[in-house]
Amino acid sequence: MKKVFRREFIRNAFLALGAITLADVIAAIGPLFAKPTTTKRPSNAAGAANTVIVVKGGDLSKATIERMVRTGMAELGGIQRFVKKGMNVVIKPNIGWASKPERAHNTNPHLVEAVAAMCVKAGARVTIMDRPVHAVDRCYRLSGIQDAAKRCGAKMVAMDKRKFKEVPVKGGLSLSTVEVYEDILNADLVINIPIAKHHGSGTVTLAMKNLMGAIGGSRGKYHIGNLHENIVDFTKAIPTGLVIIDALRVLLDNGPSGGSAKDIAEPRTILFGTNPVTMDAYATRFLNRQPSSVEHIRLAGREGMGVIDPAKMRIVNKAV
Amino acid sequence: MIRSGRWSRVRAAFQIIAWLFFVALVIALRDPVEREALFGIVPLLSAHLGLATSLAARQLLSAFWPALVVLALTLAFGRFFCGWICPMGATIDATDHAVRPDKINEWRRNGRMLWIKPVKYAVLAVSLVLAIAGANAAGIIDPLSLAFRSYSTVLFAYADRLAKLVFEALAAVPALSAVAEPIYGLLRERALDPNPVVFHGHLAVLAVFVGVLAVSRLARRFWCQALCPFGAVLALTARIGLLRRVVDTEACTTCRRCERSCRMNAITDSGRGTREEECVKCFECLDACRDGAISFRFSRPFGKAARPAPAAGGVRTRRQLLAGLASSALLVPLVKHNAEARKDFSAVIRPPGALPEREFLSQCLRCGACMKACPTNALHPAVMEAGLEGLFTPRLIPRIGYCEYSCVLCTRICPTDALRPLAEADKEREVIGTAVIDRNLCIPWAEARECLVCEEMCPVADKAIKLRRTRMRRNDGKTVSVSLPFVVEDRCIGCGACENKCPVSGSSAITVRVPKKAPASRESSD
Repeated sequence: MKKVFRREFIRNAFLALGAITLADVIAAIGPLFAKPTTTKRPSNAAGAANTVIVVKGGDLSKATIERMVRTGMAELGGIQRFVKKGMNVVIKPNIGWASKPERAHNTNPHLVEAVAAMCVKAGARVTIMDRPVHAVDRCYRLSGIQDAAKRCGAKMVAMDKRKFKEVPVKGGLSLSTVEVYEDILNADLVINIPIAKHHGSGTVTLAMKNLMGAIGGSRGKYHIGNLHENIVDFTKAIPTGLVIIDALRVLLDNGPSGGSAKDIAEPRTILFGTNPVTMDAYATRFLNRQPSSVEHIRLAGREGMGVIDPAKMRIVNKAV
Repeated sequence: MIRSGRWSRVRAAFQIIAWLFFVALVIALRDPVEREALFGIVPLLSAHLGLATSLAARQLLSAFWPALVVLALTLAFGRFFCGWICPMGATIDATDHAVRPDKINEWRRNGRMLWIKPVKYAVLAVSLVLAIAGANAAGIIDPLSLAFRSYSTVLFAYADRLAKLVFEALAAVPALSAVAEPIYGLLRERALDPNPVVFHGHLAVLAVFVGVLAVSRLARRFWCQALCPFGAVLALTARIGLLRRVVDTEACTTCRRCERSCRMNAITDSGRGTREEECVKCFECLDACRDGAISFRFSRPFGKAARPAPAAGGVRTRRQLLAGLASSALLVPLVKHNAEARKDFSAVIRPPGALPEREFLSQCLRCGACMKACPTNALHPAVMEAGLEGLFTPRLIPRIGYCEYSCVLCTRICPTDALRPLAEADKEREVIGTAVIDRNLCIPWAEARECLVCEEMCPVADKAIKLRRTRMRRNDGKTVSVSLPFVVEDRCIGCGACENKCPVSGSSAITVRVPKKAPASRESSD
């Protein structure tokens, strides 16, 4: 072995130190060169925001769910109204849990596939993502959504912790800024596809609560104290163009991560609309709730973010 | 008959391929869905582990049949395993240049290093005597167990972290990110863990691993020559192996070049003799010989011509063995002197499917496969938490990772079924611990503020955490209505999802301890 002399040692030590410092400097100044992110707000103008399309299906088969999606989207003005060729579409289902579809914790994979396939067919680049509670690869795999994405040509990505951007919340109830995933901010269209589910502390989890999975930072902390105000603020910060609520299987109790067959109802229904607040307000009936009894929906209604009184909604019922 | 020096390169290539296969197994051991048995194969190749574990468990473990195949091949080809297949041997070969001063060669050549060779038999004896006494320490020092554990919980974890740091630093540079980002994406998809992996106790695993590599400073393959207990089993078998080194004494000029080239110090008599039990069939002596005097051929091990050179150390071998046996008998009470051990349950939370503690300790190979397989990074090598006996056995640390409700991967991977293979439905009922709420830390209990993350996380069908709406006086004097969490103990399975996600900083306000009462399925037999 070569003998290391003092001088050599010191030189090597400085070189190593220099390399480490350089890496730090690069890490520090790198973001300065990064492209500034621009927030494109997709227009919500098309169609009345108080519209809720309610499609009931005969069973939970893939074919039926596909037909339900076609019917619902046609009723909402067709996919062409939302998706143009070359658009960058992000689909945000609820894939928060490492559970199989039968437990009704995650959005139905057939539903996600049908919507994604429709967007791909319309010429969009489709990315499916969530920031799950459980280990991301397990959630993607067990939910069946990873396979669904593969089948229909959509990209499924695990969120990268470097890509959350702090954005202001205009008129936030409890938050002045919030970290949102860059790809969601930059998307031409965000499609929010939650599953309707009972939730211990949030009372219900629907489209608004589903946005928790687009937010960075400590998710636990958002659950302390002002959970409902925080959910309203997420809805203010994140532009959603299309909302589709999965009420095919609905977990009525022991949600969002427990429950067994006896807690799961099968309304076999999918809701289509554009306003997350209105959609959530309508969907509360599947959880045997009044819209105003769910604190974040009541707050959002008070803030004028959407109609929450079912009497003032335009409801279209369809059966497949 | 093998004469050509090319065989040494065939051997080197094979060793690299075997090593790559081993590394691929380690990397791929993550959420495996098919070929589960393949992942556990590495430690099952060790006859030392098989023997010690069977002795400790008081039953013949048929899972170790691959070890018999290795032994049969050893009867044919001698101690080839060490030179061709062993991942620890490959690691030592690859690193010994870094730790070995060149002058040692001189020292070694004059035979002063011969006394070390029988030590491995003593190590083997210690391991077996401990096993007979019911303390299985084989896994701690067996090279296959050691290699699998070290690559999984140390090398992979470090490489994973380093790759993430480097690529994230590179990606921050605009000029480089276009190149670095796609590579990073591919790595994340194929090799890196989607989640952070960090193993509690990794330094202890590292210390043993580095120790094994560091002794190469004394001689090439010092570990294999002097200490390896599996090497000892193979050496004893290889003494009657069929493929033997034959030297044409007419052609041999006793130049001792072959002796110098031998990594195992297996050549005696100025190049003419061979310690067959040490020869790992690397064939480098063929390369070294300028006189074409060496060949390897199948010959009768008991024939007069092929009489094995006396085992190095001679009488001392026997003495070492006896000394080993005597001293290991003294070790038994030390290992068993275990403040942490209780007969019904371990001091640590064991993975699902774990046998009753006593049986678990004797059957666990300490190979770390379960830890690497765990998709939530929940399983960690115990250092002293389970007592000396429990060194490097798996323990669940819920604050780092929870046990996923329907996941059974660790139980499917375990090579010896120390973790019984569980069906998903049974796993969901498997009690591994009980959650306890610390009301002084819990946000609703201590501060009268809403939280309930633990209830949200509880995966049990009817929720083992229940909420009770109560009116509480806050510190500022106001009386408010708050939902307080309670644990329903007979529903809790101890998965630790609540402890893992509790938003209280530092230690959790809800912690999982070993089950309050041992469920019937895990009651100890003694």
